[in-house]
Amino acid sequence: MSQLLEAIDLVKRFPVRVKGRKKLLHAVDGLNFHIDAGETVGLVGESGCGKSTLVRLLTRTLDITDGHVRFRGQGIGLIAARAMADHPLRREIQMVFQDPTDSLNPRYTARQTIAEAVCLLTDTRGTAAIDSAVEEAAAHVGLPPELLDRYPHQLSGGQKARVGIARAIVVKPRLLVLDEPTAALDVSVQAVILQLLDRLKREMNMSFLFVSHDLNVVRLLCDRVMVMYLGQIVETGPAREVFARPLHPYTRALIASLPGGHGNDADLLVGGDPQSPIDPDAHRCRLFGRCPRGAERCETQFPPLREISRGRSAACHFVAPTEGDVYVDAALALHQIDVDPARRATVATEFERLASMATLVQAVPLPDDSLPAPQYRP
Amino acid sequence: MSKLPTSATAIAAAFARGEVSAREISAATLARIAERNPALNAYTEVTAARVLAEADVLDAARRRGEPSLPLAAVPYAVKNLFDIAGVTTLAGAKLLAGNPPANADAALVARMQSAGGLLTGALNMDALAYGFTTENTHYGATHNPHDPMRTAGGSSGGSGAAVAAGLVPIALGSDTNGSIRVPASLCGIFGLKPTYGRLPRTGSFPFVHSLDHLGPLAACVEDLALAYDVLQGPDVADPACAQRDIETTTEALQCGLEGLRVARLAGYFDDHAGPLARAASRHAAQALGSRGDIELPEVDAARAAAFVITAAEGGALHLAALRERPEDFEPLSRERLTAGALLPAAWVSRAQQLRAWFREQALIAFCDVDLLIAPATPVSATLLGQETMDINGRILPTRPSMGLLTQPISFIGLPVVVAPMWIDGSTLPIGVQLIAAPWREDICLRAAWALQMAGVTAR
Repeated sequence: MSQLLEAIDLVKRFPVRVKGRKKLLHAVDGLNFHIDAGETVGLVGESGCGKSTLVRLLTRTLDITDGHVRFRGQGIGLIAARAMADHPLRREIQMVFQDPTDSLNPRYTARQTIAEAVCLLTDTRGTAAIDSAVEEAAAHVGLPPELLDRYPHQLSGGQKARVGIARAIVVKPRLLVLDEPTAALDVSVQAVILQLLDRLKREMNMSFLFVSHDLNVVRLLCDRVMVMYLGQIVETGPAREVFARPLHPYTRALIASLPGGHGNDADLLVGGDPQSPIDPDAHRCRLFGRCPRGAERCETQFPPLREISRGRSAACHFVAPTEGDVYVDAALALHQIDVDPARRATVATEFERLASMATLVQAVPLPDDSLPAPQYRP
Repeated sequence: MSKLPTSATAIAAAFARGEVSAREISAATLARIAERNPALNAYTEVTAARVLAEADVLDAARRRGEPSLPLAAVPYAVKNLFDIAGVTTLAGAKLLAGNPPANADAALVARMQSAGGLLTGALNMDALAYGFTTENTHYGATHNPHDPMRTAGGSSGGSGAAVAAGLVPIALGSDTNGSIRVPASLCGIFGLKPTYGRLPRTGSFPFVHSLDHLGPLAACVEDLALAYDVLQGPDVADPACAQRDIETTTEALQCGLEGLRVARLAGYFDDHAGPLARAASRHAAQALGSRGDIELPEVDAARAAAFVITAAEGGALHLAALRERPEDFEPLSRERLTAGALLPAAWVSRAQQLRAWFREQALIAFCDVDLLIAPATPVSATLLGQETMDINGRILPTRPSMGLLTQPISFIGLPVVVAPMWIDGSTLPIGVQLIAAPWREDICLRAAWALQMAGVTAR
């Protein structure tokens, strides 16, 4: 897969005043990641971790402090947020906002809302052509045509969410960014919208970035997940693998806290306040103080994000690849088998099953003369 | 003749007496396949031209007064890993669909033809024979004739369904870890997995060289024995084939169990069997006059070793394609094959050592008994798409676990006949394994015949 979007050492700092002194709030603190064409990536983390700032940097509605953003190989980091409204890029990256009520113009019908995007961002002109584009998008999101002429206050929450999604996909973007797409909806409606998004993901040839604090959304929809904590990515990997075997203590805590999850209480974060994002200590792990595994080293030596096994990275001194991971990665390379990262987890699981079978075999005490072992006599 | 005979034995006899022509039999068989196969998806290829041509040859020979053949005018079909001249050997895999057609018949197909059999076509299977349910993502699932929502078992699922539905009286399959015995059990028919090395595998697509067996499936014991007898004989082209003379079994069937010591396998074989499977094993033991239960040591390790050898040899066999065309593999088994290709040699070697030791333990047991009885599958047919099954409170993945009871036996190459059982209150059949010492297929077949005579193998 080719890279659609790439962030390199991406930084956003906000100047703040604390007791009259100028300080810097490190909202996004040196991020490196990419989103491939056709890939669905989940970005998770608690409120205040920098998710929303990151989204605004990527959609270029907030100026970046430092670093680079590339879209289809071209640097877009220097486009000023003010210039974005008229920039051709605006069509390529579309957003679906958290609250469908807040993000829809109350004076516009659903049709007008969707048509406005067509008029502003595409070359489609003429009532018939625009109507046809609007109706196609409405059909895609399962919005009945008879609802197109209603105003937001005449639509249910789920219907408004569909209008918001239709407005974004009608211009056929390459990247769709969804900020908490289900957070404002009733639980019953959430499931329906998740199904819709899952279908769109399979039907539309575009990349998705799901931003959510709801791990279940990410688990259901995403190929890959990035976990953010205090402005930094602390873990990334194929979603199935991360949920089955989280590596970073913070990810373990997130998963352990899921209702009915498989998490272990020992993984939960210990009490204590999170560190401040204002001028944080560059040598200290951001989770130090809340981490159940924190040690002296974590206070004096910052753990960078590093690759643990193929396609999986974590930022923690204590995370080490398992022997099985090391072996499977090395053996795949040695056998020149190139496994899609999404399938690698299954290979590792199958390998573990075979390894446990081999252990069962090895536990049988065989007599010395069993063939084909050599015989050593004194 | 108003009503055509259906069993192989009856067809061959009626043909010999001149009561029926091979043409009539083949035309009726093709009509039956056309009518019933669409709902079963047992066939991947119907060789209509061939079956009619073979029938005409037999009818002409009879008109010339030539002596009749043992399988004269008997329609049969083969799992699609057997070479059929002029047909691409799929082994259930899209991966192989682009290969040229086979230029000659597999050795066993040639033997069936020499014996007068009429080849009706190629049958569906799990891709590359790696699976126990014939849920083939590319060629579709084969449906169980007793319940279309359920699997026919696998990997010779097309063979099991074709015979159970009465499309043909005999089918050929292969069995590496249970692939003849599982579909026989789930479809309610008889299946023979002979001693390792008995029947030549020449011209069949391999899976795990050191565990692959071929054998027949049939609706009754007489037909099974009849097919087995014509399939026997040495073949130097398969290096694993024992150069043994033909040891016919058909005449010995009527000997019944006279002089045979029978015991039931307990321990592992009860622990990994659901209530229905345990009832079937006890019921068969009672009907055959079992002297009691015995246990083999370390059966779970034996099954594990078979699993390890299978993955390692299967992975090695397909290594080049796993590198170059992973997208053409069956998604249900691709990652297991990939993992198998990575196994350290010491694990595989140790598994082979255990195999030699476990074989000795079984041979010791056969000093005191002639026949061992065990269930063939942990449960009766599972639903298509069913991911897990419950065996005595343990939730296990369906597809690999269906072979829990067959794997330890084929691991050491013992001959086994599966006989179907219908337990009161169950709407689905389940099979029992009738296991003998190496080269004693005759004992397995005699025991199956005794069960058939006792009336416990029919609904």
